[in-house]
Amino acid sequence: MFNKMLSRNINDHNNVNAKRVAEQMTILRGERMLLKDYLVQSLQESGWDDKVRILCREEIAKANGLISVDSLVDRVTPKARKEIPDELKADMILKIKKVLLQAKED
Amino acid sequence: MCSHISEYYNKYGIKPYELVNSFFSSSLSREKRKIKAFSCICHICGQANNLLGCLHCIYFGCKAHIAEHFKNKKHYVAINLSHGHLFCFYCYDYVYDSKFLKINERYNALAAKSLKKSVSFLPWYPSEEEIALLQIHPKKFINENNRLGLRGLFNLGNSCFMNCIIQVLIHTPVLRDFFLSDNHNCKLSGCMVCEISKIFQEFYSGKTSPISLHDLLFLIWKNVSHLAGYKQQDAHEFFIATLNLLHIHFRDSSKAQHQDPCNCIVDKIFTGTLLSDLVCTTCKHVSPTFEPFKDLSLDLNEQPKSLINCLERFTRLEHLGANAKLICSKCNTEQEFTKELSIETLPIIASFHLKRFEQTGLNDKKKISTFISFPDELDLTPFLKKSQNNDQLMNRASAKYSLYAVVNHEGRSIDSGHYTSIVRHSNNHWVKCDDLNLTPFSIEKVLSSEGYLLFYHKKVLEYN
Repeated sequence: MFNKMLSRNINDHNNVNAKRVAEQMTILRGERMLLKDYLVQSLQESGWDDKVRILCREEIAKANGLISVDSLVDRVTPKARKEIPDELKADMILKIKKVLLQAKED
Repeated sequence: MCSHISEYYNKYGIKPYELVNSFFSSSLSREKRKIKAFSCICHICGQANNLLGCLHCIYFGCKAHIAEHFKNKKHYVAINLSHGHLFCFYCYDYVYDSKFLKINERYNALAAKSLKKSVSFLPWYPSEEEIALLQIHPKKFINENNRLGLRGLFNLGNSCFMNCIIQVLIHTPVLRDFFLSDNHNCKLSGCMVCEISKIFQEFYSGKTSPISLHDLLFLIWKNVSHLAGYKQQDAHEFFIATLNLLHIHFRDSSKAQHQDPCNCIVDKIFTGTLLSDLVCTTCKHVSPTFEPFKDLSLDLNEQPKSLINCLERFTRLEHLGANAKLICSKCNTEQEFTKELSIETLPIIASFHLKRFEQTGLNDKKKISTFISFPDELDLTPFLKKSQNNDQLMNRASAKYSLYAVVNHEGRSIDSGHYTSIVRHSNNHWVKCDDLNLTPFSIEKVLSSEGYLLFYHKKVLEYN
């Protein structure tokens, strides 16, 4: 069943179904954690986390320290997304595709 | 502080959290990952992003639906399934409780083990004891505005070769962290590790007056006979001798059985492995040999322009020629070989020795003073072993390094010159250490200095 879903959805990034399959497949095979670590490390190296830390500090200061994690995340997310280097996004898509193609072979 | 979590803890204990975390957040085994992959969806709308799991009953929900669940059932504690932190609906925010954090941390390590990977980055949560300690010692921060960790060293008669290396070791972050966290107590007399430990304490005591390293010099004289006497010595030789002596004394002082590869701090930090591939030109049979290294000595004979240049030459394919035939284990006859070096494992500290002193006669060394440029950020990826497959796709041991110290030789020959070092004191703040004198330096000046020994620190350290 998985194989069918995979071959149908592997190139369709915007499909909700595809997202779900990618998620399940990577969790199942354990590669999700590796991808996550890789992403975190790359973001750190690019200086992204420092930028986001500053954004968070600004928002917390604006709210006089009284802000919940969720609303902080809501406020910072749009700006933080924009700061992610385009090459890294492309790199991640490529890596996820590779994992899924490998999964199809296995 | 949230009182609801302690209330929850007293009523239900930690078991529900352990259970849900072990399956659905950290996922400790293959079977658990399978269950997680198929059952982590919002019980109302079916979406799978950013889910919270109720810790009172079996219920997963997205943000909106778990909030509804709380309204209906008054189940007020939930766990975020992507990172394992607790959410309290009365406070309407995440709460951090040490009992739960500890379990989350332990499970993350176990999950990493089950996936055969290094532990993911975790922020440090100081304990109450540690917070109290930090508050008593507010001044012990290293930054541009203070001199903590900066002290001059007396010249004890041509002992600048020692002073410059000690300044480098003192400003090596991983080494400093090891020594300042009281990791060595052996009380053997004449122990080099104790001596270095003592010097670290002196440097970070908060005093600013210069230090005399006569005990260390005496110890070196006793243990390394060719460095004894008041003559000028080679700083690189001193560096290597110091690392060796530290390694030997670590082994002598530790009660644990000696392991191979050695796990003493010196080997953990400075040792990497080189792979040397000898390839038979006839049958293409490869015989690999692995060789540990503590630094790389780079030739300057062919007028390289930069450190990268030197490294390219160091790792290029080399024909050993017809005069250096070896027996090929596959052909069983004498064959010509090619040799290629690459880096198999990277050390935390990569140090490079530019061979500025060339042996010209029996007792004669000529100094090569050509300018070799070196970067402040170095990427060693091109010099790593070329992996045949792509499994290392994500397992990237990052190969990025930052410059943190440079040793320079001033003067025209090895016997008459003077050694100084430039060290990174804090982020963008460099200090030139010339025996007693400490002067601030700009990065431009650091990068335009001649460079004899170059020290780079790995940017990302892996947790094991």
